[in-house]
Amino acid sequence: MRNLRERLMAVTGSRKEAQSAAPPVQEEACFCREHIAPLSALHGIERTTLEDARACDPLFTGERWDVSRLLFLDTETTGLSGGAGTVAFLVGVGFIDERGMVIRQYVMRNYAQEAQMLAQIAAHFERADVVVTFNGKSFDLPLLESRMILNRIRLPVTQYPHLDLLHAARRVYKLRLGRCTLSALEKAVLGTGREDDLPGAQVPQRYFDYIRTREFALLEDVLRHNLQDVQSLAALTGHLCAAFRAPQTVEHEQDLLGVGRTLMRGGHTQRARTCFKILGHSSLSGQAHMHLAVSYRRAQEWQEAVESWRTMIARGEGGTWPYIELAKYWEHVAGDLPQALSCACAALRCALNTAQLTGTEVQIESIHRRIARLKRKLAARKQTGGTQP
Amino acid sequence: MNLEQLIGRLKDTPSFMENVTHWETIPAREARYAPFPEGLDPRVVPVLAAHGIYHLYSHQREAFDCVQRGEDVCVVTPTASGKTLCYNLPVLTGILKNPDARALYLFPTKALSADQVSELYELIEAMGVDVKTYTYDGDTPAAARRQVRQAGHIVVTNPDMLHSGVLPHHTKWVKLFENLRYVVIDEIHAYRGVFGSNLANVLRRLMRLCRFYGSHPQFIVCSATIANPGELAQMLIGRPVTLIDQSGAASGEKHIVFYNPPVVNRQLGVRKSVLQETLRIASMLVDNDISTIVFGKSRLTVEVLTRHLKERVRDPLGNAGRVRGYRGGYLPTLRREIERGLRKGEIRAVISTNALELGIDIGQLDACVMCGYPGSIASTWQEAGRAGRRKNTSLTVVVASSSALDQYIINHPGYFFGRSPENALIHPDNLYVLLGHVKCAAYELPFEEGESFAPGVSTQELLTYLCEEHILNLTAGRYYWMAEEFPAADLSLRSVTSENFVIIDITHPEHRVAIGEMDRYTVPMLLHEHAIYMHEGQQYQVEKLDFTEKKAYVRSVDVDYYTDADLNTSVRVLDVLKEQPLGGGTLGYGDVLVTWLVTMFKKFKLDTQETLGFGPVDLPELEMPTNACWWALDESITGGLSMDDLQGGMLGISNALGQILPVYLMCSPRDICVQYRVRDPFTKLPTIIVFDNYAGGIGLSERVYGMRSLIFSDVHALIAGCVCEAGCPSCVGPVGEVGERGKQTALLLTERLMAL
Repeated sequence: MRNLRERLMAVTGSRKEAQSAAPPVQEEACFCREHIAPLSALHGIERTTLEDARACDPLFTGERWDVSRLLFLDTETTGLSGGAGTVAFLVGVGFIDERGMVIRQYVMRNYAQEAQMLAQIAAHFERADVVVTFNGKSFDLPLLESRMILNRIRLPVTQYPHLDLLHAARRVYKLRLGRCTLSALEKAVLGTGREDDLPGAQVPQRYFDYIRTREFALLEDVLRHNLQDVQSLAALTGHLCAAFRAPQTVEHEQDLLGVGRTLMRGGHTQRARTCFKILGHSSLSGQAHMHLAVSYRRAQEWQEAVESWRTMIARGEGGTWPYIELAKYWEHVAGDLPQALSCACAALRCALNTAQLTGTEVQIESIHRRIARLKRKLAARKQTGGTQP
Repeated sequence: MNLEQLIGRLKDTPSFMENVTHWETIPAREARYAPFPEGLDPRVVPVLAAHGIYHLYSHQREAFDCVQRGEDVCVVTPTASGKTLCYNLPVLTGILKNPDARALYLFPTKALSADQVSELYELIEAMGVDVKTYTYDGDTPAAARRQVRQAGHIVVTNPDMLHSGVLPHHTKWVKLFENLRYVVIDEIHAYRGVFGSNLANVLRRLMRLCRFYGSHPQFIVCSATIANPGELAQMLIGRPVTLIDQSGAASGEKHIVFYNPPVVNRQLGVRKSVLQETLRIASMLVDNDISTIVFGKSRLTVEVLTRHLKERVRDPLGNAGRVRGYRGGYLPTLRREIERGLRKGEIRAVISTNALELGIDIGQLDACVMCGYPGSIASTWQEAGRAGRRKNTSLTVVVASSSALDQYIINHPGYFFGRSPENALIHPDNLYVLLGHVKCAAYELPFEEGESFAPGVSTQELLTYLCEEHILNLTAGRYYWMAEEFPAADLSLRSVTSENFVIIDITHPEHRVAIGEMDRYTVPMLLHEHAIYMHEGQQYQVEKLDFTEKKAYVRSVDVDYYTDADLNTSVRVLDVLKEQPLGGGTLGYGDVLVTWLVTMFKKFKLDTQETLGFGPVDLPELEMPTNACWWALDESITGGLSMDDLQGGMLGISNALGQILPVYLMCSPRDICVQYRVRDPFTKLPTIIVFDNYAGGIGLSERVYGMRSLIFSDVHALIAGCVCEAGCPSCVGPVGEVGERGKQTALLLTERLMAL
């Protein structure tokens, strides 16, 4: 009769011979390497302020932003599944002090060192006000929290004030770049391409190979990759903050539109308008004017709003939208029904001219209803003696 | 006619009664009540009173008291006996006393969870208390999940979701795991075979995590009537339970009629078709507007019956919505719609597979017709339980098919009524199942050296094996997960594989619709190219089967035939685990590899079932490792028989054995398969093989091994007692298959086996 092992091999269809596991190696402390990057390479990270961070990320909840108490963090993991069996075997953290940007990379030399490594990471968290990551909201921080729970360290790192550069960068660069990976951003935004970078997909296997062979050299590529990531976090933060602080310095029109939209969402209306006004003469002027008009409408600055709509109509931008907005304005704000009706009719003409485009039937239908309603209102007003409301 | 009048009429109809082998009348039963217990949250009482409940049934009270004492409980109750209060009352009371407490409810299907949650909501809302109840399954929107994880007092889910969506992500469920007080598992009788073996392991993983988080939940489980509810519950949760199996609920008078279609050809043992007789009885009920459920054993039966019954009720406008089919493979929205229609009484007749055996709320119907014996006593009672409102008379008619099992049951009513329903068997330590869950458990939390997962198997050896495979890494006394994979994704709880095929209707190429799905083991049989696939009474022809993309493209057709595929099964012995001499041959038990291959299909005319032709099927073969028991027969048994006779005799024994084994193993006929070889390449002898029809085995063939040759006396009795001359489907199989002397040889072989 076969033993359990042979039966297991039959059940799993495995054809492997029995192998003896690598001899367990006992290292006392987890690996830690320190690297210092000069501030000059970090796009003015030292000049960033709380105001900048809030502008970058309208949902940023931090109350403090002290450059020396920022924690830049990036992990390298044994997988992407995000369940309890995925381990962050390398955690790179960065912080700013008088020497520049200090980057410390912690590596578990074996699985048993996880608790010890996490304790050091926890200490970094305790010395920081804000954590800065790239996609940390859905990946690195939940994973770290999960690892801490498993190691009985209760530190709710997902509740920490957090600037997730993935989301901030997407809002600005998505229009221009499409995919916003960190390496794409480095190349297109920071101008620091990578050479011989280890593809992320190969990272887990490198670690497994290291665990089996104890060849630390296998991890050097991973360490280099991670070091670059952490450093780029600071550089990207500096760059983004600068863009929000002084939109007029933003080079690409698409980026500027993203900055303006984000500023709008964050309630920085004046600065947002600056962006849109700059764009008013660019290839994105249609969108810029629309945002501008919306901002005036919300602020009930009607004169400016009307002017924006008229500009759009004059330039043939925004399709029926400015006509309808104007019609609404005349009807509900200015109470000038004949003007409203004439705008609605203009909207209809505009819609019919572009009727070959899909989806306009519904729009045309709604304009017809608007016109009908305005006509009814006008008729009713004439009957009651034409008094103005 | 109402049902009582109809029953009276039937009893006076000789043409009906002459086919009735038994008419059992179970008298109405009065309810046994108990007062509300003192510990019950006082807010519950007025709410129950508003629903006309002024006291509890005795079993509900008993369950409450047991839970209060901290015991794990298993409540066994028939359909419609207020089972949900057995767990809702103690759980609500516990949560109201301690708002941090959490409960986990497990139902075997999403449909059942949805059903139960709405009932629980009503209760909680009427009480005006803050007990947050959420369903957590594949349909829960991502945005709502966080809320469920953080705040849900009662989380309702299914084993599959617990397995792949909760346990592997336990660190996101800290609140639940730290405070888990109650685990409710309803319908545990559904967890038999591989599903149950998997659930037992999922629960082992759950308890392991509870230990990590320091909680000690109590189990409240419910079961329909089976022979061994306590044992099953204990095997599932891994510790003893208090059994409450005396229902206090009232029930109306029940009539259970055993009906055997008349013999039309005695020589060949041919009876009138079970399908036609079922249809005749169901039509009579439908014509009298008596709400009826018809159970068919296969998808095909259901579709054929639906089609005919729909014709019967079709109004001048062509609507036949009063009659609906229902089976697995229909999309969930369609099934919900049918369930609603049944509850509201808009649908008067439903034709279903055993998919409706489970406690999905379809209200109570008046009559039940079974097209063929459902295969187990437990299923029969459960299906019969669908008929009968609390106080009303109900009728159940079991129409026997010509299979040996059906004939045995229908002619031995004493066996059916005198015996407890079947055991539900599970085998949590099945190596195949166990290994998968040890991987999942290791992913969830590193194993400690010396930790035991399954009491029956050396956890250490499994872990060492996984280390060798570089899936785990042993460091400083703990086994760490060292792989990129997410092991729960590779393990489906319900079958060997999680890969379902999607069935796509391409009748209107510009508007393709997915109309159903099917597991990959059934696909070669029913969805091979040119197969006629039936769906809600509509016929479709399979145009293309894309095995790699797991899609079958079908087109609506209207033809007068159906198709049935020929399945070739072969069994290869891999390893002998137990062995003993059997005369000069051997009786063996061990690991085998089963291979299935579909090579051709046949076309049958719909009404007469005559063969119209056949066609080839070109599909890859499927493999399954499992356990088997075999009898290798030597000269002392086969002596003096020609090759042809031996072949016929062995086929005859195999057929009879396949029919009789489920009765003695108390399992479903599909749980076990019988094969024979005139010369087996492994034993080098004529060999009869019985194998578990589940990957890794579920312990059935091991029990067969334990019976040695005793089983052959029952096989002999079945064959000898059959009225046919030389073989019929009710014993050894038709003469055409086993040959002129097949029956005789089978008798001779069994006599020799009995003598050993």
